[in-house]
Amino acid sequence: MKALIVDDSRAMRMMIKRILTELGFDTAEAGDGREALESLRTGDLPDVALVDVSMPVMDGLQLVSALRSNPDTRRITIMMVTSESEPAQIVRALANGAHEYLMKPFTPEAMAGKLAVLGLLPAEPVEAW
Amino acid sequence: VSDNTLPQTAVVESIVTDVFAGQLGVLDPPQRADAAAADGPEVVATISVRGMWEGAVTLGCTSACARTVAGLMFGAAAAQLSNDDVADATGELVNIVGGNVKSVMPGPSRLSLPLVSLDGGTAPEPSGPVLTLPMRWRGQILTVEVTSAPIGRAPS
Repeated sequence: MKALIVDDSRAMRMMIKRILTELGFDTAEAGDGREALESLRTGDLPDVALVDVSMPVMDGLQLVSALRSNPDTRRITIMMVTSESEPAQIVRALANGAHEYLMKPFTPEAMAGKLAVLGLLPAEPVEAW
Repeated sequence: VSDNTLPQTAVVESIVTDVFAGQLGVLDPPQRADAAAADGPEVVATISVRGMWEGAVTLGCTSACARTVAGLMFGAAAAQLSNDDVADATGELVNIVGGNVKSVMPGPSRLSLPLVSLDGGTAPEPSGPVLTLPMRWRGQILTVEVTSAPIGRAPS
């Protein structure tokens, strides 16, 4: 499985990468929506994109819309990973085409659970980190 | 809560504890301290909220404390990290704390991008009520401030 991590914080990308690597994912990273679109133009398509909402240049909601409107990328599973917790934001992200929403702070187990719900992991419980 | 009010201190304390325990995975999250740090913070990270509730959340701590947090986030020895790494990690920390503070205040509202000073910069001058929460973590004081600003005067 391949995952694209899109977050403007390198520290957060590193934390997510450690979790995904432990779960067996190959990962790529982007610092904002525009970088993500550029990496998708030049690299392999991921199975899942983990997308922050609040980012400079192009935010996560704009990125979700762009991914969904492009036939080449519309099948990528999208999980928002964000500290934005407002119901309106969550509804907007899901309406734009995101499949799941994970709030920061999150544990590795919570992320693994969401990925399992999306069918990207075996449904068995993930052992404690 | 209503507009221009502050969250309860216990709620902010719980948010900070959850962020350290959940996101950073530490078994010894910060505990409320009896007194503020004797000296001003060396690292100051601020995020603003604009909307139905307007205000700001600021984290202040020593360079050593910020470097320890960054080491946990990057999974690297604190001494190996650059100042940019420390600023990035501290900014993400205040982003997560700020997002969770925002979630207990009236909405809708939006978070700004975080601002971080590593050279003893000061928090924005408060224009409204301020909640100050000193917390002790690994022998250091980490201070959380939540400022409620009158509508239209939120720190930029």
